[in-house]
Amino acid sequence: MSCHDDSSSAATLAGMRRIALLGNPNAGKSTLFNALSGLNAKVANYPGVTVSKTIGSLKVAGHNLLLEDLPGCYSLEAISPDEQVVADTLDIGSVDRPDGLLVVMDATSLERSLGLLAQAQQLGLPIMAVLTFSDELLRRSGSLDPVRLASAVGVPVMSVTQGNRVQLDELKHALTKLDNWSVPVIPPPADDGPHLRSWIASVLDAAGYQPPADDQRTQRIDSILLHPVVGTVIFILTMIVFFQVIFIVAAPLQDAIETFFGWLAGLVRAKIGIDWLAALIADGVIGGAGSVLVFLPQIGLLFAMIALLESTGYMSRVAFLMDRVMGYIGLEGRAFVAMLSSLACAVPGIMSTRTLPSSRDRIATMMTAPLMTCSARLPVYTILIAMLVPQDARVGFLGLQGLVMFGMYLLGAAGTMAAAWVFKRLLGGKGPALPFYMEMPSYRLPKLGEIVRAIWEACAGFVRRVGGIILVLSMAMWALLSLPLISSEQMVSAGVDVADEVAVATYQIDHSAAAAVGKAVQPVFEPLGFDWRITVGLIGAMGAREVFVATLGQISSAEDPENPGVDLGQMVWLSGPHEGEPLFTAPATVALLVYFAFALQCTSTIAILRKESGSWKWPLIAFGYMTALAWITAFIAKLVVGAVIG
Amino acid sequence: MAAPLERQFLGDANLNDVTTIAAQLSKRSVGICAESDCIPMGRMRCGECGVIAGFSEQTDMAVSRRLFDLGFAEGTQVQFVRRAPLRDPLMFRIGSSQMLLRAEEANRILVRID
Repeated sequence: MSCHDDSSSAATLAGMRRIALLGNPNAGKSTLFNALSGLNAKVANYPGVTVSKTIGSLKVAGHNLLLEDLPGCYSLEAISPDEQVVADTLDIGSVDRPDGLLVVMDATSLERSLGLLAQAQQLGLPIMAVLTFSDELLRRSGSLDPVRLASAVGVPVMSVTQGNRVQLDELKHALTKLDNWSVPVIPPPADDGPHLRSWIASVLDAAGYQPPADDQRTQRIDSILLHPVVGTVIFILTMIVFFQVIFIVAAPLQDAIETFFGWLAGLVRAKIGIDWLAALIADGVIGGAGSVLVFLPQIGLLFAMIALLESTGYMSRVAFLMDRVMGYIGLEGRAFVAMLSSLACAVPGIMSTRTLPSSRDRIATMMTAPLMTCSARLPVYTILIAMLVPQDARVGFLGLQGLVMFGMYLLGAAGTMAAAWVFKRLLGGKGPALPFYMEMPSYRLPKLGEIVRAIWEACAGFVRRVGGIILVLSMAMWALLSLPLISSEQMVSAGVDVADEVAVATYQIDHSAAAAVGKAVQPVFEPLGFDWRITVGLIGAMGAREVFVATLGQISSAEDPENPGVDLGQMVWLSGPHEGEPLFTAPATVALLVYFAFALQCTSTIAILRKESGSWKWPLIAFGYMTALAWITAFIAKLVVGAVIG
Repeated sequence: MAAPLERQFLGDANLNDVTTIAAQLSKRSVGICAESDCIPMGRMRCGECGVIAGFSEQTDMAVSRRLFDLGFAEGTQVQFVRRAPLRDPLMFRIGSSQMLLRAEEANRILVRID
């Protein structure tokens, strides 16, 4: 995500020639771009993964060139946001119009690539064609003569296979000579179907093109993975394994991180003599960061699995299998992939909606993807479920805690589906009917480097979040909970036993700035069974859900500083009509779970919604409807659980 | 850097005014087939091969032009590979690639079975 530069600022770099890469989705365009520029744009085997304009630079033989990786497209007649980017950039009036165009053509589907080349040749730009996957063409016993192809199409043609340094260097040098690129005497026809077909046929014939034989390996795998019965069973098993790995494999790593931060906080408390400073660093900084960083293993694993599914080509099969289900709510298979990515984080999920050709589908998916159970909800769910369900409770051989967690994932998915259905209806009306089409990529062995890069980017992004917004928020919450400082004399005069640390801490927190804010807002959440301390947690969590855990940790350790791991379940109402009653009753805990399931508490999601939709309208609608949905469903959940328990 | 979505809600006509190349391409004609010995592509049997005869006459030809750009052009050989377990979408082999279409779109394309 970090590599998607803002193209308009890069474009203003004076004196540099711009060359854009154009090609079908999956034609190897991003791979070529990375090889040329050395800049790591994300590469995956899912069609349309290049969803953003990506800029890189190249220095060769004293020439500086700007490279732009355009989104993959099948036609310059734009019908999706991705294609609109391409058409806008290449338009004659465009400020970003490149000086030259590299048309990337997959040698295994040359016919279709030639259609796009013909359209590109109408643009009046210097053009060079790059043939990719020539090795794959040979492997599947096809053949092609690039020299004869070049004379047939009238533009230079270079063949570049992945990992071939010599071919890549030749291409780099050819890029600097774009003024000398050959131009056809008569450009190919692009305004008429039948004429274009005969042009393509004559080019293929002149180039001695033998189309590749069918990919036997992919067909054999597909006959199993897409079998009506076997394929469905494998899909369900894949989804189960997907989640099991995230929870089971991550557990020991998480324990290690928890132990480390506990040790670090203990060290700080022992070494720093000044009480308030020790508390700030141990509770505010280390406690706050540690309670969030503990989820690093889960996030890394989640992104590793998604990268694995994408780079093998199975993710496209998932879209094939799930398209009909998504069709029921008016969406398509690719929306399912966006929803699945949202299980990691709504931000990449929302970004991946750019592969959806229909803008209505795109809005409906974007607006509802944040309801999917993202990894930021995990810390909150883990703590709340532990309070709700004893660890050893079982149903058959399955742990009840795990089942409740699974239920929360189902709740999120069901909420997403229902909301998407509503949005599609509301956005209805007669717009352009966009077709659903998707190319099935061949199965490829996953590249370790790509998966490692996906894990690294996800973890680095998460750590930046922890270092930025989450740490700032959790320190601000700590300060609000600790200030103003109350002297012993004031406590004595208020009748507090200063020898009782718990009583002192309780008095301190009850008279803190956070308490004032929490108590002012608390009436809003009173019907859900939340006291002012939970309200303070919810306010802190508006920026990022994980902050809730850090805030609760600070509140509970303030009540019992000798035992920071104290069970939150022992907290009671401090005042009001419920004074002395347990705070985290089953109805209140369930209400809190449901509230977190549906509320939009994430500044990153709001920011990406603003960026992707182009206005503040959609993020505001999302925030409004999700908050209302969260409050109402939490209220209903509290009443229902209350009635069931009696 | 996607185009603002607001613009896309305006529909086809305005979209085409945005860029000259897109406007030019939206005037293309693709082969209409009115012959009676053809069947809609979505009605092919699993594993069956055929040759594309053209597109059925529709008010909205933008979809047909896109199907054409995807390679579903008159005279091209096509094979119906499989159906998803829930009946839709359908997978076709066109040229050397495999393409998913829903029955609704596939039925815009008419094929002649060998």
